[in-house]
Amino acid sequence: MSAFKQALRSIRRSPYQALAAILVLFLTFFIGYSLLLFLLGSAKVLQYFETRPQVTGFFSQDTKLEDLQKLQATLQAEPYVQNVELITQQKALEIYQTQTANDPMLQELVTADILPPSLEVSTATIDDLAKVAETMKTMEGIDEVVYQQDVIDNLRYWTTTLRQIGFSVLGVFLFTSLLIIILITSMRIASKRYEIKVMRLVGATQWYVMRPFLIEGMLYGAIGASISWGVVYVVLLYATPAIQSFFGEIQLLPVPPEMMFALLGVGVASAVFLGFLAGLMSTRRLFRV
Amino acid sequence: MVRFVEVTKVFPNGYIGLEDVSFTVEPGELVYITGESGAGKTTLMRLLIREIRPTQGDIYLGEQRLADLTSRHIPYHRRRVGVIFQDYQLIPDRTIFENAALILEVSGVSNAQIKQRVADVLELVGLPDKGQLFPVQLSGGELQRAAIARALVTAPEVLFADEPTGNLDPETSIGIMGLLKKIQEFGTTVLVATHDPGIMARYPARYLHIQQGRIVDDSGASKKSPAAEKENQEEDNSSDQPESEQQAAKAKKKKDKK
Repeated sequence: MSAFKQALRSIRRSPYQALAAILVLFLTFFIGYSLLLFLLGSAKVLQYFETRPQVTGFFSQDTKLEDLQKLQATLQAEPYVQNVELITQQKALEIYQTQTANDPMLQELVTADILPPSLEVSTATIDDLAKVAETMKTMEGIDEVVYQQDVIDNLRYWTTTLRQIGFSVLGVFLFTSLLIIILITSMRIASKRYEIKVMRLVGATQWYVMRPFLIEGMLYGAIGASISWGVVYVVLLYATPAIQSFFGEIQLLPVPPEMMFALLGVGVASAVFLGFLAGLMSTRRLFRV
Repeated sequence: MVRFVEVTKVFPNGYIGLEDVSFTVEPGELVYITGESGAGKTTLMRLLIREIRPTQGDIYLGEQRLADLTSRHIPYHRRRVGVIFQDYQLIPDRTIFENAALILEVSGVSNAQIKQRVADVLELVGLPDKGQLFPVQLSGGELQRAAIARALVTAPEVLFADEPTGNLDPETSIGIMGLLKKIQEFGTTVLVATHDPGIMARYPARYLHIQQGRIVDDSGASKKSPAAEKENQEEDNSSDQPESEQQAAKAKKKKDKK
């Protein structure tokens, strides 16, 4: 009888033990996949904010275009500045009109004259924002400097906190899964003690005796991780419209299918390894003489 | 082929299993290991398959000194020695075929070869149509045959039968011993641990008598055990008499026993 058949037979004969193992692995990998998707999403959101104009300097309406262009060139020459965009009064009006397209009354009230020209500056890293803001505050004709440091700091803080909590919970679940598979495999071994003894007496190698238990652990891992991936994917597809409308123009979804399949591969490989490790740890005790 | 050199086995609790045991068994030889229960016959078998290590002395199978075997090599050594255990040691939730096939599976033999070899060996032990039955469905004699089939399936160099007739009726015992004799005639070295003088008389061979862990008598290849001698003597005497006298003697013997 092949080791794979023996493992399947063992699962069939004690379905509740198998169910417990698969369930705990399902929960572990549900948390794992959710955490990974959250991390990918939060990285994208942070990236969005970090690559958008983060510092906006508003100038008085009478600032000349040539002066603004000079200031733009000065800022652009700084090594930590990635991009500087000049928003003239006319361009500011266009933006305003686009944003208030549904309200003609508001559009009528506003003309280019009353809108201030501005410079929108993005930096390579978020740490350079303060430097840019300080530089802009000393510029001639500057009225106000606005930047999103606080928003990003908050976002970073929450992302880091959630990441730490997520990894801690995942760690606890991984450890629990490992223990449960060890426990179940040990119970299997105890119930097959006689069979194992006979096998060893007639010349079975250590590997031959261990194989069905290792395969069983790996099967639990593969099944648990596959089911949780399927559930996470379905939930994600179902929630896509709501998530997308919440994040507005930040393009988070849909997650490309190839990325989801890569997640499946990583998840199943990790779960199979976890099952193998648990099986190995419980069977190793058999051969300590 | 099998050589014990001044072997002593003292168990952790201080019990002496074997003491200063030395003997050699030649290839293809049939040897009885006799002695009362607890004399050390099973300890001898356990030492031979390296289930336990001797406290002193050396054991050789062919040129291989068993003390030199690493734990990785022990399974391969055990495949060279077929063992028929006193309590059969058949796996209850596997069929007789699967039990017999176990050692071949363990050895990595192909499925086609397993089918052929197990069928052959079941035929040899007289269980050609019992392969799909489970141990619980077999009688004592059949279980013993199944255990022999499993021990034989790899064509081992040495076959050790530990009390193969201990739980069987005399007729079945003779059948089992006949089978072991046949196996020996095919060239396998056969060691039979027994304290059944009946089968020793029927199939005379060299014997090693163990008492309290020591070999107290090694008969040599041609000599029979005293019990066997006595039983054979009686048979010889009765065969010289006319048939009617033989029947009368048998009846008298029966009556005396009652």
